[in-house]
Amino acid sequence: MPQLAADNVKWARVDEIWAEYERTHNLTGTARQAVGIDPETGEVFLGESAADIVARLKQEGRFRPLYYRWSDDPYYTHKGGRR
Amino acid sequence: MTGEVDSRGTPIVRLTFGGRDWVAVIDTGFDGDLELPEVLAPHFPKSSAGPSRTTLAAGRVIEEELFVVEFPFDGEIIEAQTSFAPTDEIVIGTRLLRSYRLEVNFVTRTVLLERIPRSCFAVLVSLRASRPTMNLRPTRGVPFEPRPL
Repeated sequence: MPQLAADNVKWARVDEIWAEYERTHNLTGTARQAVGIDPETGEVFLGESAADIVARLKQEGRFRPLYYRWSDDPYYTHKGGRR
Repeated sequence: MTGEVDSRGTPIVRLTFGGRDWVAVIDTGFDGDLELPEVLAPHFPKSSAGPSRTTLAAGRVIEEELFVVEFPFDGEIIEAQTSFAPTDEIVIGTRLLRSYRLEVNFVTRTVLLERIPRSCFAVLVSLRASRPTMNLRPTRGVPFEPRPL
């Protein structure tokens, strides 16, 4: 499963970037935010939601797919009921 | 917007897309906006936001592609985040309903989704903060009167 291995490497990099961001930024008292991370460049984008980040990046002409999580939760979605 | 509790005891609303009716399950254990059947993908102008991680009921973690779609809901076109799955039903999560009051009556098998205007929401939050012991139950068409518990 080479694709799965590649995905795991990407997510490991994403987690590493976020850990570094948390270490170097004071997020105390800030509200829960959606976080978009580019594992290639190490850039971190914050917004109200993934849709908010997408809209902003498109407006600025620098949209590309990012890896998403929340500032307080590595899992963007919880499907606890139906699935 | 109204719906029903189906024969399995699941709250649903019925939505129409692409010339057919779809069952949309209201899933309060799902904190996203939407999950859509894969066959509906061609009906929505969409853009991939990118991958995200999702936890399922048994604690299993999967990776899903997150899309931003223009979704017709309750008489409006709203921007919603969704994933596509090989299912035949739509799943509505709590994030899509964050401006709604949801009432499920399992006795009468009815579902009511009532949009709460933002101005009303601000008043409710303010009242809740200042009078935490009040029972606040706004109802459409009925003047709002806080009742002591």
